Amino acid sequence: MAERYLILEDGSVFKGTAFGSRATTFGEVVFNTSMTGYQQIITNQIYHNQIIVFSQPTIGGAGIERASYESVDPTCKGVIVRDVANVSINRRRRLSLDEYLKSQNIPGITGIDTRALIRKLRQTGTIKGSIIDPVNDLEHAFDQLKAIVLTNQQVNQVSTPKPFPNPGSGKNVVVVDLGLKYGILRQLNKRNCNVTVLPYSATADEIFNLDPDGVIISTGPGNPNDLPESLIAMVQEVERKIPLFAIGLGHEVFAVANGCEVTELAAEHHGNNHPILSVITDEIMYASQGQGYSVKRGTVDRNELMVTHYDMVDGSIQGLRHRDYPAFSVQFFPDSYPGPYEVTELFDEFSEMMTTRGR
Amino acid sequence: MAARKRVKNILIIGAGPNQIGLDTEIDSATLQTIKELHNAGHTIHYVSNNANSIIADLKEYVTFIVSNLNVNAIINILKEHQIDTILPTLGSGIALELVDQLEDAGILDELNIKTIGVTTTTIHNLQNPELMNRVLSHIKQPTIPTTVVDSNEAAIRFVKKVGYPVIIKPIASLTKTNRSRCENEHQMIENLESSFKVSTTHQVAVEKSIVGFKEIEMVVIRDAEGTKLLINGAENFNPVGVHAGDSIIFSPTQTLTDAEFQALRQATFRIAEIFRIKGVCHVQFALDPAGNNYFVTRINPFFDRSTAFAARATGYPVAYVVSSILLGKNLRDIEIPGLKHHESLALIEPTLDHVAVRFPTWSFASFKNAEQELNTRVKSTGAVMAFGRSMEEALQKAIRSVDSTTSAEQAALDESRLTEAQLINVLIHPRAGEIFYLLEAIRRGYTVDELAELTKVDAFYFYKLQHLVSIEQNVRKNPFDVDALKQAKYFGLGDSQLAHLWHSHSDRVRDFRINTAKCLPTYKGIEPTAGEFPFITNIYYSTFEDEDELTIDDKPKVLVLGTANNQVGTNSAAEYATVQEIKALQALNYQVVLLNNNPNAISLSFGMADKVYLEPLTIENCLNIIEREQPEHIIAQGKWEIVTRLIERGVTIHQLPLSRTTRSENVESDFMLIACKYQNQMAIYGGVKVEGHQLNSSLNLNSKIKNKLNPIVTAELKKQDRNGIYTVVFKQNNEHLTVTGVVPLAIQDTPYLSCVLNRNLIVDLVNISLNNFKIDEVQTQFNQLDEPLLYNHVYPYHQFGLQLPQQPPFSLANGARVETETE
Repeated sequence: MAERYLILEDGSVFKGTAFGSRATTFGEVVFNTSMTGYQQIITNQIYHNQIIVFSQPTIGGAGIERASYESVDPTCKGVIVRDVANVSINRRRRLSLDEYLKSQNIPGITGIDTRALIRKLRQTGTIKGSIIDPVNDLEHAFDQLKAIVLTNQQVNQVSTPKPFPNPGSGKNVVVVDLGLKYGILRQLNKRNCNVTVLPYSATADEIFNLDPDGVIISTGPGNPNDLPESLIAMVQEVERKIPLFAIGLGHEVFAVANGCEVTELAAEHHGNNHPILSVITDEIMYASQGQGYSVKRGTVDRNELMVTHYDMVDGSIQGLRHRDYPAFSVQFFPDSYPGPYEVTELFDEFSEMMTTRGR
Repeated sequence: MAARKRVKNILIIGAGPNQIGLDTEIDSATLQTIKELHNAGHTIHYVSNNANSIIADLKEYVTFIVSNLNVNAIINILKEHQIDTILPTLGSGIALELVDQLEDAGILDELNIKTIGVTTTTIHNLQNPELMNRVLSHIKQPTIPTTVVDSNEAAIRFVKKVGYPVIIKPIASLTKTNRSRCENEHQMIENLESSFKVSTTHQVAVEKSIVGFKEIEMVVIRDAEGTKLLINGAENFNPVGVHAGDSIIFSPTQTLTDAEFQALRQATFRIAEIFRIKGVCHVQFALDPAGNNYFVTRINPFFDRSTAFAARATGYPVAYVVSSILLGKNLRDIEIPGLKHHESLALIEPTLDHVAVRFPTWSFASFKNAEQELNTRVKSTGAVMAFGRSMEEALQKAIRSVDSTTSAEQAALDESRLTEAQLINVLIHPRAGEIFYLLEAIRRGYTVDELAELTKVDAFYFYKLQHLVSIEQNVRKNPFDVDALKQAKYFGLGDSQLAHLWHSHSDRVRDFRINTAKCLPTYKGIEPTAGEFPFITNIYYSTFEDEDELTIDDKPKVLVLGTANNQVGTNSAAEYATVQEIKALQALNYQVVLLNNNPNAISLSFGMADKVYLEPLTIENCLNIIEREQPEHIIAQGKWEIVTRLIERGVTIHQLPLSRTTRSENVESDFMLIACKYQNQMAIYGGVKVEGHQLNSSLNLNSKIKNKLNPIVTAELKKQDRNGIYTVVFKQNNEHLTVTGVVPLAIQDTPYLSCVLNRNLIVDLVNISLNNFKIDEVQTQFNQLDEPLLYNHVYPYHQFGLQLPQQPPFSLANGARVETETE
């Protein structure tokens, strides 16, 4: 029951209790409003550099289970909750959340007025924070927090250094890993695809050499504008020739590759309760969302791209499709894990696109 | 589009008197729906025989038709009132059954009547389990596997597919036979033998047993274009085997993995789609704790207990949105009040940053002979709900709510005296107040694993209970210690509980908490976006955290103390009275602050009180709220324990002179008058005939008798020392009158009497209490109704499996029926 502090860039201090690792941590503080799926959220690589606040007050009630990892090496910088449930046995629970975070060296802090924190973040936007041991000299701690510069090389840090396969007997798909969420592999696996995962540095030629039926540009952390030009160039080349499906950060890269501007959101948006309108079918659906950046409206070249999905709450662009090439993208996570299943149909669409092109 | 604009002549079929399993949960939705439909220009009729119905009071919006709920009566109403549309989603299963019968009889076609909200095809499919299963199997939604066999071999073949345990039951049995549960082949063959013997057709039904599965309640809204929105997912504490109405229920779900939750969400959406729901639908699932499979166990395409809980738990205006859908709007075009611009989309799925709990209350203290074991037949007579920022806090607040109202379950139980055998028996066969036994088991050192195994309740809950017991122990060990107090408050313990553990007085604990520990409650808004948007809410709950969201303006306020859970005796009439109080006070330009915690309360309806505290009705909370709000007046219904104890602490409370017990029931009488006394003036409203236990609005007194009444009543009321409304009960022997009793107006008679006297008696009581009454306006009138109305109490004996006594005491009624003489 060791005491710990959460301090924020704006000078505020929240006192709580330690769980998980006891390391000192720095990161951007972002909130997630999902009510289930904390394990998938914590292990999602998009949270590299970030400390996650859960609005759902009790986190940990379903333990940690083997089928719910979105990456083997989670890279989030911390977890902030009101109440952590220390559930570790029974049923599928091999591990408690506390034990898991300890093993991954991720600090957690519990006993925080997370509603107050979220209401604050709503106003400040995303700001830096730090989870520290109690100190008398808070000024020094704040100085350290202000001085910290978070890396903008997140993709480089989370992308696989070497290609690896995820074999199947169906369509050949190349997944370019920008911080891959395993849900994407699960969806491809369900469709029996033969997958090769390539590092983010893969060139168009390397991809063409594998002669895939389709290419997926994966989810990942950080700012798309910090990514190397070569990645943009790769997408520009590949989209002309091979069916392409870009997701999350991949969607942002796809947008940039096709002339859009991608800008930082005032406040990051993480959750799965916003209605998303599919323009083509005029259907409304829900999906797991996690974004700090968004394609700027008005920068979409309507001769090249069409907007396929909108977030009906903030009006943000959630999906794009190329008018000439078999290429499309979504900002949200179509693989669910966590989140609603209704959007997983986009993988069927991708499959069909590959079939059509293969004929 | 033109068709949507057509003015409809709508009949809403109500659900009848309150009884066990049917509280006031639908009335709140009904009230809001009627207002919305009325505002859209439609003509509305409402049929019910519920004497406590608040709808009877909405004369400006709706024609209230008193009638028994049978198909012939409904046909007459349809014809007489030239109904063209039926809304069957506000009358529980009763309304669906009636509409199905009307459709079967060809009446709907003959009269060209349409239904809204749910189609007749859907109703028909849901009324018949076989049809329902067929539709569900079409969309690959599993229902509990069941079959009929005529041989052991066939039974064994079936079980090979579905697995043990199974339940078997003889078909067309001559004797009354129980269902028997079989864990293995040996048991089954043994039971099959005896079952085949008693079956006249030599057939036995075999069903997969799902006892021990988790029970999950999902609530979805769907519109005409097929957009679906999940409002709430709630998890029963007790597994399948205990009726959901008798189980503690939590929202959000506490122990489901995302995969489990999403699978049920998707199933709920598919079900809403295939049944073409236009409005709200509650789907119940049994989820296998050991695997990934589930079964659909209930589909309610209407407002029920779960939709009411969903609305309260999330703060989402379910009834408002559903009425907009009934009016032809689609979800994408509906805006909900409280938010601005595009953020006001009704389509934002509710997400919670609190834990809400619904906690059943029973009345076994009054029905000692009733079987208290909890099983598939619902036995609770009401419920409370509580909010917290952790499961522990919400649960503790719920327990305290019960403590303050029907403490019988706990009072009757001195846990420490239970023998081990008694305790184990309750662990295996849950009974009312089970939670207190579970806490005691933990105190005695039962482990989480043992308890999970014995009870089939998820281990998560025992970790939490264990935590509560450890907090309790820490408190015990550290009397008047600031840290121990702070930890206890953080996890929901009340001052009274701390006083109990410290062998002290709650006033002393309160003083220590406020002045020494400086530990004060903070209030948080209940709203459906978990703080993501600046939602303007007027509903609050307390916790002990950093931020306090409460804003207090300086408008003159009245604090109304609600009556919490529905209890036998005062029953739903108490809620009726609370609603009338709110309206009366608002008419006097007061801002009404309500404290209540009944999940089914009509008074908690969206847009009713100006500010709501969804909090346990305890001394501690009342004092906290009074200190913050500084109301000009505090109003309570009659005299009850909390009111008395608040008065002892120097709080001034207007106790509406309402009897919480009953009018004098054991005296032979012939009629009663309703009269008021105000500042030494008296007036008679009118009277009703007393026919044994029944009241009859038709009271014919000759002029000679009438002339005698005024002096007698004046003399009798002079003896009463308080202003108020009284019932004066008479025995009549030809022209000789004897007064057999004078008692304050009984709460449970108030809705009926207000109706037959055509006078809102609660409004008068409020005005009397606030010295604002105009007694000159009271006119004595008899027989105001075209058709006399009869009034009878409804008792729960039958539902408890007990014999109805000759003279059941009124104080044990849990509802009331009203009917016309012709019925």
